[in-house]
Amino acid sequence: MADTSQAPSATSKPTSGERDHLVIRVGAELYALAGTCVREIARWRVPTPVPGAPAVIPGIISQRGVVLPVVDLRLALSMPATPPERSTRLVVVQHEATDLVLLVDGVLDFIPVAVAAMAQPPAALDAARARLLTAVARHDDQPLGVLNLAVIIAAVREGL
Amino acid sequence: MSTGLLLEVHTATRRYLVPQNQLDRLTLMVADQAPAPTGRSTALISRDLGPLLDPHDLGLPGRRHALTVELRRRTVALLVERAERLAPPGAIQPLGALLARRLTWPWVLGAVVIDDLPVLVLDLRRIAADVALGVV
Repeated sequence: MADTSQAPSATSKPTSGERDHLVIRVGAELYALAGTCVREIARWRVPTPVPGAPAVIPGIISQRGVVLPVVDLRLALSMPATPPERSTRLVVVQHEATDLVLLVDGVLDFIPVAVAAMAQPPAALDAARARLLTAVARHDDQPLGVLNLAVIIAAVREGL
Repeated sequence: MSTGLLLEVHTATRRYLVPQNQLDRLTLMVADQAPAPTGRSTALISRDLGPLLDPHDLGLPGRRHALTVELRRRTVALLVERAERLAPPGAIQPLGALLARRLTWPWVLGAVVIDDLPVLVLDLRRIAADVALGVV
């Protein structure tokens, strides 16, 4: 997908039984964010660290003049932190009154996901990671974890 | 949020803004030489500000400025590499509840965006109070 500073438009319009999702990569794994919460996608830049902030919040950035906290999705998903690469992106998201930026390893596409194709996260999945998922689906024959932004925000608030 | 003029200060690794109205004195000093007594009978405590805020900041020898805050029973001199200029009081944006509630120390009033980069506005009196209490 071409890099953009705006949220990409869906490659095809979702039907009534589908929901738009942004497919992102974290480590080697694919995850999806509900399209309704995605505001913008930006190239990675160094966040300004805030003294005393937890590792999961590596700092703040200014996005169009608005100061937003950055949440490292790798750490949120219990993966080790890695240095940024060319594909690293900042995804600006909003849930109710909370705006934040998710640091991800890559952004792939904006796709419709059939609601019927979403299943409960498997019981064998790591509990800390499964907690952050609404469902699992598949994308290009790979498992796709559908992220629950409300739970991610709550987990960060509670001390992730 | 408005705090009047903001003083831009530089540690070895970062720059910060400090509300001028939180500062009692700004003095130029030589490394390891404590600021001159104020005439008040309070004890003086000097600390490098940089390493308090950033564990990667090892401090720099040489010319420094002392940001002196007078508390009731202590005077605290927070040392920085340099204090540069007074910035006009820009719009200080809060950090937001998601981040503010997770901070170990409530030392940041917010951030001002300068050249598209957020610069932290420090609560210098709170830092000084924690230094005086010996909790950092």
